[in-house]
Order: sequence, then structure tokens, then C-alpha cells
Amino acid sequence: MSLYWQDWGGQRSAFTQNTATTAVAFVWERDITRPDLATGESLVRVFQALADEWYNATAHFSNVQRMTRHPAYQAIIRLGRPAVPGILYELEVRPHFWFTALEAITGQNPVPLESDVMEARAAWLAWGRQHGYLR
Amino acid sequence: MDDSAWLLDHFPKLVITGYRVTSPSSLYYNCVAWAVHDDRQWWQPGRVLTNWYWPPGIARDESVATYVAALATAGYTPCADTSLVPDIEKIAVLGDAHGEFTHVARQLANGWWASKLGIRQDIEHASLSALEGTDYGTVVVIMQRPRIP
Repeated sequence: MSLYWQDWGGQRSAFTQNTATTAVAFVWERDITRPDLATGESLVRVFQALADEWYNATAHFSNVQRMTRHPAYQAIIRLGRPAVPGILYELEVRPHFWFTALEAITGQNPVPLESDVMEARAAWLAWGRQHGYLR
Repeated sequence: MDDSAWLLDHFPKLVITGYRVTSPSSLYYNCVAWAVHDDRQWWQPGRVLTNWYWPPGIARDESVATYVAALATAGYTPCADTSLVPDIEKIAVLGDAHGEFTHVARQLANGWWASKLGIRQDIEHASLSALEGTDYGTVVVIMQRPRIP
């Protein structure tokens, strides 16, 4: 594994090249502790706990609005741009309705009109590669 | 946690009453679609994605009443109970304490029920009440239509 740093919006994040996971080129390993995280845990751990909580709590729901208003999903949106690589990783390996969070955080929507759900997923993953979040 | 562990964690009565998994997970369709034998569309108010479908003229809220109206466009009408009747296909609409739709299951010809669990798998289950609880609330409306051969 090779460690490197990247700066997103003034927040430095550390990444490691993950040779064991080919789906995504890098995995977010640790992050500087954000002052709003009372637990003091790394942002990666906070994100992963929220992502697991959201998936397990909502993957059996039938309405996307009901899924995305879940407190864990809203908390992930509040993490902001440092959560983007984690979201894209989740979207790659454990597809779920992450599009609302990605659009809310980035202010962008790369999904072409007349796309189905897997085309939307592909568009966001391509966006992630284009913007250096994925390789 | 693998999918079977998750299933039993959320719906523990399934292991007692009996169930089997009948499909892989899919984001293409949900329980509403599966109730009407559609495995290509996600029935959802709005049309953000091309595989999302919502019947024209139906309200776009999440109430049980709205989902009942949507299912009526597929030929279902409210009925009294879940008794198994030859040549009649019944569905059970579940909702939470706030009157919000949560799930719909379709009765099979053998008396079991078919459910698509969100983006997770389809299952067939012996008991309808095994899905009732914290996640899906309770059965609030039963509907029926002639069974399509």
C-alpha cells in the first residue's frame, strides 16, 4: 500500500492504494479529525458506521424518499465533500440510492436525461474517476 | 452481515413460519412493481430515472391511500380478507402508524406470499404477519383481482 494525501476543499485526507480491492482504486483510510465530530473518531470510521447503519436500516424500503430522509443518510450529507470517495466506493461495491447525497454534496448531477438506475450509477462512477476520486 | 442474517434480524418470524429467497438483489424494481408482476420498473412517485414508474393521475405522496390508488390502476380493488380463493389474486398493503405506505406482498396460488424487499431480494414466505413489526408496520388494506394464468 502507498499512502498519499489529497486536498479537497481545504481539508487534507489520507488515502492508501488498496491492491486487494480492484473495484475502486483507492480507499479512504483516515482523515483529520473534524472539529464537529464529538467522538474524535476518524471521518472514515464515522462515514462507514453511518453507511452501514443506513444500508441495513433502509435497503428493504420501497420508497427512495423514505430511504434518503433516514438520519444516517442526512448525517452523511452533512459530512460534506470528504464523504464523497466513501460514497462512491459504496456505490461501486454495494449499490444503493446514493445519488441524492452525491448531488447534495457536490452540487452536480452528471446523470444524463433518460438514464435508468444502473446508468445513473455508471455516470457517477465515471464522474468520480474524472474528478480524481476514483481511479 | 450477509443477507440471510439481515433478513432474520429484521423479520425473525420468517424463520419460524418459513420462507425462501427467489431472486438476487436488484435496484430495478420494488415491492409495488413485484405485486403486479413487474420486475423492470421501480414504482415510485416522480420519474427521476427511466426505470421509475408512477401511474398517471395518481397523487405523489407516500400515504397508504395513494399507493392503494396506484395499485388500483393495475386492476386491484379492496376486499375483506386474505383467505385463499381460487382464480383470485390478492395483495396485502402494509403501512406504518402515520398512515405511510411501507410494503405490499402478493398472495401466491398456494397460499404463500411473494415480497420484494426494497433493493434486496424477492422472497416467498408462508406467513403474511411475519413481515409485520417495526419496519413495515401492519397490514392495513387487502386488495384483489382475477388471477392471471
